[in-house]
Amino acid sequence: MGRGISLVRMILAGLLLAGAVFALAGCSPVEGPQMMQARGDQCVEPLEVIRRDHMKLLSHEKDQAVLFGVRNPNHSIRGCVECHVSPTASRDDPSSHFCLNCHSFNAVRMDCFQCHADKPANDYHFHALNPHGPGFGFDSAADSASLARDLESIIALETQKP
Amino acid sequence: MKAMTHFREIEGRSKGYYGLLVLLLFGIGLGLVAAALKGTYGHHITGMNNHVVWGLPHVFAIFLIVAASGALNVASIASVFGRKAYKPLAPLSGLLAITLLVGGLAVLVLDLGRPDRLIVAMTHYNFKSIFAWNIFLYTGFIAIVAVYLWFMMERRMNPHSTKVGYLAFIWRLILTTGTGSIFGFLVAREAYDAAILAPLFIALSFSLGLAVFLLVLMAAYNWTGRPLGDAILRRLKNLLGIFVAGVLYFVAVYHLTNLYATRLHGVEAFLLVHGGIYPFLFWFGQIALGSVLPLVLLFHPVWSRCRAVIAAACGLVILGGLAQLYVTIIGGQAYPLDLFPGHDVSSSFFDGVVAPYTPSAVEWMLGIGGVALALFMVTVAIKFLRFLPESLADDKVDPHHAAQAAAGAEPAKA
Amino acid sequence: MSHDSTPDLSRRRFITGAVGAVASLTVAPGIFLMQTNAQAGTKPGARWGLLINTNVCGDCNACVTACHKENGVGSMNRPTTDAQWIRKVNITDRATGHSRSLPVMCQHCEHPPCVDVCPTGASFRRADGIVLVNKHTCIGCRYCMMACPYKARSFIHEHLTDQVPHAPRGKGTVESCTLCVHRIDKGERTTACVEACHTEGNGAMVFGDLNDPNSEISRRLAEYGGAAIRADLGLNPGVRYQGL
Ligand code: SF4
Ligand code: SF4
Repeated sequence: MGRGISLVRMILAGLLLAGAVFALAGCSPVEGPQMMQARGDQCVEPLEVIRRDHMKLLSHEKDQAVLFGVRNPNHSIRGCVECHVSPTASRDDPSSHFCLNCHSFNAVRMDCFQCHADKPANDYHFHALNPHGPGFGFDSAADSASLARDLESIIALETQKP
Repeated sequence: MKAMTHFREIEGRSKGYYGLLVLLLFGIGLGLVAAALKGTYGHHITGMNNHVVWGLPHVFAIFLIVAASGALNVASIASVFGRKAYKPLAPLSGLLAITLLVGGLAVLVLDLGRPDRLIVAMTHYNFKSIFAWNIFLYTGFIAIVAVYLWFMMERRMNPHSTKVGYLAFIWRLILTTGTGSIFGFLVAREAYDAAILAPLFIALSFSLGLAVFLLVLMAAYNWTGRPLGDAILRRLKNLLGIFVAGVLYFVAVYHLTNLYATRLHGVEAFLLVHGGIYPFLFWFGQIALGSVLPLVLLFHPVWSRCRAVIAAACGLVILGGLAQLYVTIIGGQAYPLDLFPGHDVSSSFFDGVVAPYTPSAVEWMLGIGGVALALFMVTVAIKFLRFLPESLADDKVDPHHAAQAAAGAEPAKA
Repeated sequence: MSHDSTPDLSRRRFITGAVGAVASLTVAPGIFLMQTNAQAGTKPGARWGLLINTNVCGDCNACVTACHKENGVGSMNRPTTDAQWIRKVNITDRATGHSRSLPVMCQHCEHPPCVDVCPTGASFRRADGIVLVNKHTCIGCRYCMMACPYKARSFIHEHLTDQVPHAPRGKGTVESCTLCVHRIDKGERTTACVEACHTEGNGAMVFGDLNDPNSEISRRLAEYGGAAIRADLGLNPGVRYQGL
């Protein structure tokens, strides 16, 4: 009795496998989705690394940044969005959003953009290797505006009687 | 005849049985729809807000969790305190303990802001958090009671069942303490800052668990037409009465000690006198309907012989328990936090005013879903496994009673 | 879709140039203007805090507006569920009738109850004293909101879009004042609320390192003192009030 059942199971499994092989063999290569062209000539890592391991880099970066304040603009999700998403991107037009587009094409669920901004901000925060970017360290360094603000409040503090 | 209890699955083919299943499935469906709605729209479709952060779902969830540990009492009385008469009831008691707990946890999980991150809760622990401890207490409870059930139902393991019974009993005491401590640790919330909450929750679990157990027992035996003797029922209802009185005692102590501390007069006045719905639920729901009336019903010399009266008393105890949890959980949050003692406070963030809260339909659906899930699992389990004795007639339960009855002597007292 | 993917070059060059110039500036002692090392992390030994002078703070909302603008916290016109990272609280002493108004936000407690109760460890305290919610591990149980004595936290009750890049926030998690951690990690030494208080308000707020005896905030605390809200709870918050 038990043998009979396992035999039936094996036959069924074999049939399924064969079906899958035939189905795959019948497929022509699928055309990839139309992707937005990145704003920049070079990615932060070699293509094969970033393609395979971007989630690991991001995950490492997320813990470092959130827990220890160690922010590496080259591996921040914000950096990805700056180059790969159009400032006028819309979720209804997948081709304007590199990340969402590829993820939906490959049916890989991610929830980054439930919290993270899904569009670049108005000021440009390119990563260090982007030739259009302001250079290494830009993201963790004070910019001119913040410098002015700091000085302003310090002067205000010094002149003010508590 | 030797007092050997025969357990048997219920028939489970009647229209009524399938009707019950359909009804419970509908209830579960309501809960799932509610969870899906919350997932889609977020919590703003519920009555909960930034000021009353735990609402009706938590009332239901904590009710079920507390009742779960209490439902195990009957088994504990049999195994830990060696009362033979309760032995035939032990499997059902263990079953209810598991299913109620699962129902309660389901509600709790589905009310999370990110239920999809349940795996995070399982892999990241903050051992300072009583909540994290509770995750272990709950899963451990389910495992221990499952082993206990197995030992009880598998004849070869029977001799060991008492040991596991002890373990389960101790574990359930810790578990209820843990549940009560969820509130006890909130130093800033005046209504919760009391050590007596832990024993209060244990007493509450005794009474709620037994009330649920009695109702399920009576329904199961009534609907399957199996005999259920008066003797066992009388014992159980007397026990329930004692537990209800116990809860009443702890509630009185809780409020009296609070009234002793001047700093807590504000919150006490709010919960007992002028807090709108909360004093009403307290005096009318918890005290009058949920404690005093059941006590009268359970100990009235004539009424308490009627099964419908006992069932009504159980139902009232359950309603009173829900009212009590509502007052404790929601009333405690509605009363404003005292940021600036001695000052009148106002802001756009509901500082210094009573926080508004009205439960929404979604929350009711979720809570009912949890109850339905628990009962559904019981209904299915007793069809496929041997949880219920064929007969709980007086002479089957208590041979001593049978002998007495044969000798023509009425048992003096249960 | 590359038609709108070319940012305007002149502006970018301008910014690049400006930062380059700043990088070579020498700065007054105690103030970090540039950190060329991007991987700095929290400042060793620091504890960031705020000092609020309630005698100066008046009927003004500048800090609240600035904070919510900075962090993209918007109202949904649902007062009970709308998030508020900072709020103005009006208090009147029942005995004397003396009234004041002061901002209340996360007090960045040294012994934060929110961190103690959080089951997953999502609520945590950074080495520099800033208490944050790690939204990657927050499950939205709201136990921290029950535990916080200052009502400092908000739960996000709805789906959000158009967050600002430096302040990620999303449905089903809890949030509160971050002490403008994105600015601090950049090396800035002020927060949006403090900045607005000085430019538009009454100059009642000071931000700084409580552990640095030479910082403005420490000097003021040493000279004039500063009370904690609900000091009786012993949480030693990093936000202090003068004239409370
Ligand atoms: S004020 Fe509240 S949220 Fe902020 S650290 Fe203290 S307990 Fe946590
Ligand atoms: S809501 Fe999030 S941060 Fe707060 S206690 Fe729960 S998991 Fe922790």
